[in-house]
Amino acid sequence: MRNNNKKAVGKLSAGSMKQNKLRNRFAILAICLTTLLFTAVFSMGFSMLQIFQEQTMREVGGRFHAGLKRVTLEQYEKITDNPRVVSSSYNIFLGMADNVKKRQAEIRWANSREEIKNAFVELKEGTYPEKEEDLIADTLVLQELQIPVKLGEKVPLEFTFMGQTVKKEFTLCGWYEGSQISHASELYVSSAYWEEISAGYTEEDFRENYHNTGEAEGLINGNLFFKNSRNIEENITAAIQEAGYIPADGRNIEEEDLDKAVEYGVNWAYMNSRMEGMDLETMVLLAAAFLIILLTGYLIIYNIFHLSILKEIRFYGLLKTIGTTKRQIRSLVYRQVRKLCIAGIPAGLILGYFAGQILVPMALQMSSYEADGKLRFSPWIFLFGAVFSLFTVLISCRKPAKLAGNVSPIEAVKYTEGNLKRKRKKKSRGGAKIRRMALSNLGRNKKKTAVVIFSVSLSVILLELIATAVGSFRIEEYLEDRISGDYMIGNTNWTRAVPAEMDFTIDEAFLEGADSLPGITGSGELWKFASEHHLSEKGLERMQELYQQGKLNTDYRFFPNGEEGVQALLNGDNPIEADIYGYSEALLKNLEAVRGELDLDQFRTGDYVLLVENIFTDAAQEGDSYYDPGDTMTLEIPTEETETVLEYDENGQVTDSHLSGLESREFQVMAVVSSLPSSMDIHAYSMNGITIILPLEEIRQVPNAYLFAKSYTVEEQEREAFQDYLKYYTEQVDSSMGYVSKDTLTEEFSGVVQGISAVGFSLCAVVAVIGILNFANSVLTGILSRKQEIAVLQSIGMTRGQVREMLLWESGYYLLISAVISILAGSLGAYVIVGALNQVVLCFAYRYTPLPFLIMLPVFAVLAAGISLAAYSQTQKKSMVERLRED
Amino acid sequence: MEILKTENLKKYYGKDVSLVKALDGVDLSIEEGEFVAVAGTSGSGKSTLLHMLGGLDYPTQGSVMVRGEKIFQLNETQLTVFRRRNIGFVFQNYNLVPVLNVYENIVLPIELDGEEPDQEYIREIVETLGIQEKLDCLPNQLSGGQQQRAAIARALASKPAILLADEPTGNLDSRTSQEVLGLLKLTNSRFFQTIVMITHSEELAQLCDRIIHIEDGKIVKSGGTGDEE
Repeated sequence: MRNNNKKAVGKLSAGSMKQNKLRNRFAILAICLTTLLFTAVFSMGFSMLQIFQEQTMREVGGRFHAGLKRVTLEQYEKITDNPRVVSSSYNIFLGMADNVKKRQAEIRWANSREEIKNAFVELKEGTYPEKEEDLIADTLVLQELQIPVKLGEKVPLEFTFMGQTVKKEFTLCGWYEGSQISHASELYVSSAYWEEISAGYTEEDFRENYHNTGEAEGLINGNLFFKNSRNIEENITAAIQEAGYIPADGRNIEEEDLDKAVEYGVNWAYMNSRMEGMDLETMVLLAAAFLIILLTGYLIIYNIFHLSILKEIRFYGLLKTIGTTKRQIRSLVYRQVRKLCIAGIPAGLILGYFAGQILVPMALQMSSYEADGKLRFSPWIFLFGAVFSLFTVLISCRKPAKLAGNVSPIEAVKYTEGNLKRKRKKKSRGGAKIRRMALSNLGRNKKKTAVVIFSVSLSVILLELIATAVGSFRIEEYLEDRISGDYMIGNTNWTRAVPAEMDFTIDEAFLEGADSLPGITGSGELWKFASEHHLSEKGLERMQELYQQGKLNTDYRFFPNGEEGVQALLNGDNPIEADIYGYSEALLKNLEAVRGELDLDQFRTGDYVLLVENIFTDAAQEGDSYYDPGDTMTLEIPTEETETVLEYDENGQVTDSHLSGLESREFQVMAVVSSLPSSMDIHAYSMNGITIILPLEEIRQVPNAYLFAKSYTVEEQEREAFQDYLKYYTEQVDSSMGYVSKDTLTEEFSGVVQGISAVGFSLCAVVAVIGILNFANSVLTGILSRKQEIAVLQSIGMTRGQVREMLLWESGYYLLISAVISILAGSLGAYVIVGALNQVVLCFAYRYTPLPFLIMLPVFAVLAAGISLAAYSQTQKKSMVERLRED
Repeated sequence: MEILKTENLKKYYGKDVSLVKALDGVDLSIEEGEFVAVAGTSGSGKSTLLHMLGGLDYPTQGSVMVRGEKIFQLNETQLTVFRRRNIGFVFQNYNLVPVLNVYENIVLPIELDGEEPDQEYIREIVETLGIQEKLDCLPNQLSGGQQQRAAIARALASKPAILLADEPTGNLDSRTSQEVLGLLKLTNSRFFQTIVMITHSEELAQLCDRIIHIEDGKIVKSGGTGDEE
């Protein structure tokens, strides 16, 4: 039977809303905070993804979906004609600026402004090149050439075009901010200049030049956009095939197909942005955050509605008596919920968005990305935030709505809190101690009590987890790994995380300058050279063993010819690469022998070497090595006559290179040491090679050995001056020199920890506020609904003090139980979860902290007492007689 | 011996035009061991009188003396303590504490006083009221009549000077009402307990020693029921 009862239900719901002002406030606040949490987490997650994607694009060099490499105009046009291609643009490579040394400065001509814009060139000032001498450059190149960043400045460039050296003075017509993240700086010339320089060459000339020299001048790099970023690889290969060419991704091109092959690349920023790009840790973290928010929101919203419906149970019973159906009562509840959501969710979205704006830069501190860490706006943040909190609200209200709908009119009339179900008898002759009454009061509505306790505990447990995690970061370990002494100096290729090129030379002047400074109490030298090594029979056997255990890296990047190449390595046909290090003795103490013993006196004799354990794959185990301690191995050491010999095939392509004129010397393996701390290697190693440590005296004799870093320990009071010198030299004198200092590393590390703390603790704070709200709501409704009962107790002689005492005991018990649960669960959780991170996170070791309990529990205790007393004084507003008469 | 006395007791609510004189100069004297009914229509002021006698509410003017002590000269805490030692209440809707079992409810006023209950005496009350089987029950497991017996037991437990009963049978059917009233009478005679009971039922009032009729806040008739002679 259908009828129109909306009006009636609406009236009832409006009435109920009016009756429940306190509940409405709590509910709106709870919904708002839940939404805030969701929105903040979404905006962080979303912005991080965006930022990571942008970063990747910058690394790749553009926003485009896919690129065509070194094609002719005809190829480009045919392929981009494909309907799959929504838009496209291209650039032509002219050459590398030879007079720009520290950056890779690529000179290009772009066919459109979009091409330039999509390469992250956003002009801060100026226009696109028009006149023949016009040039766009970035601040990094200008800085290196010591040209002021000013339009109209002359920019001299030297480059090689089709074998000819070109020297030309350009005029700066526009400039943009250079980015350290992208591997190269792009310089753009005008169409006029391109036409001028390419006059007299055909595309055929350029192609031939490429085949002969591998230089890509004059050929087109096409950049393509498809409808969306899905299936890029499929789209690009299809477009190439449909144009009649053969897609090639950089390898395995058959000789006869060479003319038809078109090389392409997919912008991996788009691949990384998808799920596979998210690492497991982030996923787990996000999922955990969601669950916690969902749970937090559920606990409070459920409790608020549950209690409010119990309070009004007589009203619902009455409605039932006069013929309101289950469905009508449920829709009555949902109507109220909807109204509360309309108030709570938008407020939460806005607050969450602002919270996100504060949290995103903090969260970025945790990552190694040096981006401009601003919140990236997206309507999705709001949509997701709203949908998720609505979802939480609806599942939270399901049960209370059901309860209201299922109320039996008879039971409702008899109901007082905790009375809905018949209890067993209570055998007790202990009498009615106030404390025990309080405990009994907690047991009246066990569900409510449990929910509140859980809600309060949750925030403390969470805080304990985060605080333990933050406290478990070991700055000492980090510093030990990253630096020996107080300062280390080296080439910027060494001081940065990953070398841009294998040039580690240190200016003599820089070294001398540092050495001559006062206050140096100790210094250490770090040397290296590269050589090759022929494994002994035993070494080869061991290598084959390691191969079978999956401990050698057989990635195609190292073995372009596949299995054939791997076998060649295992047969010992080719020598393996050897990285040989030498350190001052003070530094040797940082090495940890995992097999054998490190005996410095014997090591000094020069008859021994140390080997560094092999870590090439995830299967690696401690102490893996090609030799055992006590084995004899022959080292090939370069001499003055040593040269690199290249081998060519019949086409003149380089197939192999090895060293000539090496001198063989025998050494005994003293020990295998664990992998080098990153302060002691060049942050690069030879895959499947061998890393050897020789005494410093031996290595100094080797002609191509070089000092790649030097460490200094400096007296406290001289450090400032020392650092000033390093700063001055590396910034003003030679910017290719760099340094690391203990202080900056400490700051860097603290930044990471601070980022985690800030994000973690702010989320925790909101969860804690929700816990307190939940507590406040329960206690308030609990006490207010017992107004009459309290009046009765007072009438039969309970003094105000005794009533207060009872109520304080009630909240005391809440807290006591929450404390026990949170201390147990928090400590155990921290031990298990944070302890598990020991293996995953670097410089991290579980360290227990009881601080959150010591801080949070007293705070909760004070709040709980305050809330109880406030609720009590609410009940005392009316006179005892009035309260006694109330029904 | 006079155990309860009021002098010119007044309780006014509101002001000026809306002034309500709930009690308007009540002079009353009750002897120890008396069972007095206060009768009157609803709104006559009888409940207000009871509240004043029990020290639940402060009068606008006048005094109440229990065992010779002027109770409104006490401060609130003193009054509460006085109440739990000297006044026993029985309410129409029983007002037992739902989380306590019957026994705990009965001894509650004594324990609030920090005293040990006199077990022998409690047993006597409980047996007199016939609820010895129900001591472990929670209030919601009892019938109305049983709950009211428990409430009476609670009121008696601290050996109060006066037991004040506010329509104690108002929620009970007539048979149970008779039973409960019988128990009150029994209590009155067995423990020499002074009882002041409010009722609007003339029939029940007739069972008491004396009926005080109250109308518009004033005693209009006070006298024996003829029962005592």
